[in-house]
Amino acid sequence: MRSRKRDRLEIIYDILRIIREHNNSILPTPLLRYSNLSSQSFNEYLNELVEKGFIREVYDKKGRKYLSLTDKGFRYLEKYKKIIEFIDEFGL
Amino acid sequence: MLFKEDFEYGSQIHLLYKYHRKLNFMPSNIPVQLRMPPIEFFAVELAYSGIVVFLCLLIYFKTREIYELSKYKGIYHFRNAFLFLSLAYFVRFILASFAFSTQLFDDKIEISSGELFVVRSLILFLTYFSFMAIFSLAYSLVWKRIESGILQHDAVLHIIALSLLTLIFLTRSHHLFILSHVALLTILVLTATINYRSSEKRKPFISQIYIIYFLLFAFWIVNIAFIPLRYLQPELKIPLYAASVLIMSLIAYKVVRTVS
Repeated sequence: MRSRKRDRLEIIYDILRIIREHNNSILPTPLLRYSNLSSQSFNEYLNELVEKGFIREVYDKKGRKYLSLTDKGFRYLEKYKKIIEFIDEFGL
Repeated sequence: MLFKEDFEYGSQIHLLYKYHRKLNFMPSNIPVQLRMPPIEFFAVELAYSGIVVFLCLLIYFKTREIYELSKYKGIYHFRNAFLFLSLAYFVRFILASFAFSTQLFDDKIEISSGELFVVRSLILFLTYFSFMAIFSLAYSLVWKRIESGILQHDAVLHIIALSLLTLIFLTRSHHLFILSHVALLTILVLTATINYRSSEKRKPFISQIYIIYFLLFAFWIVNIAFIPLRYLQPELKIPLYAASVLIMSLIAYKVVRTVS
């Protein structure tokens, strides 16, 4: 069984990857559906990712909220495999 | 005199020494085992400490980005281990340099109370950084299993290190100093074993990285057991230093290869 922390890194990766796969613009509701999380967990992760600057919220003219990746979000996706490799390599 | 011919290198320090001390080069009670002239002793210490501190800092800074992105606690403690180890090696070098200067400029082994205060303070810092380095590495391996307990707080590691430090300072026992390090190394081996046994990706034999961790701190303990190694023969000292640099280089290489 994988550790809780590892799951956390994976969940973040999945959320960011889904946004990227939707041309870097997605509404929160489909993101919640694709991410396979409970509503409460999803909101916690989303708030954390916005706070830490991985995701930014963009509003259209109708006031609808879209989610996009920031540079930091793209960098996380690029480095994710290396982070996991590093954790495995050094037994962390 | 044993060292007289060794001092005929004409370095500025030696000339300065000659002018001030005439030909009274060295204390008469220097042990026979000490065969390195001070300037060479200093050069070896400088090169050795410089390389090890550089490698420790390389590991620390190379892992900054993956830590900042992931905020993974294991990476945080792993980085701290090498930061503390770099500080420990740096303080060890200052101690060795202090011994070098005392050896070169004084004609007695005994040091003044002021010098003694400086040396004791340096030893305290060295011990603290050393404890923290071993604790941090051990913690980076088992943090997942104890994250809900009291040990999840960083402050606890500092408190344990400071408590051990106080005990050593009060007893002023070199044996306790070495024994506490050996005990911590044993804890590190145990944590590595626990981590390995519960790992999903267990390899056929023991993981190479745990052997490297063990050797890293085993060599470190030998390093500080002979502070500042001034009485250790060069025939033993050089291979010991070379082995320490090799182990550290191996870890640095693995880090750079993985994160680049």
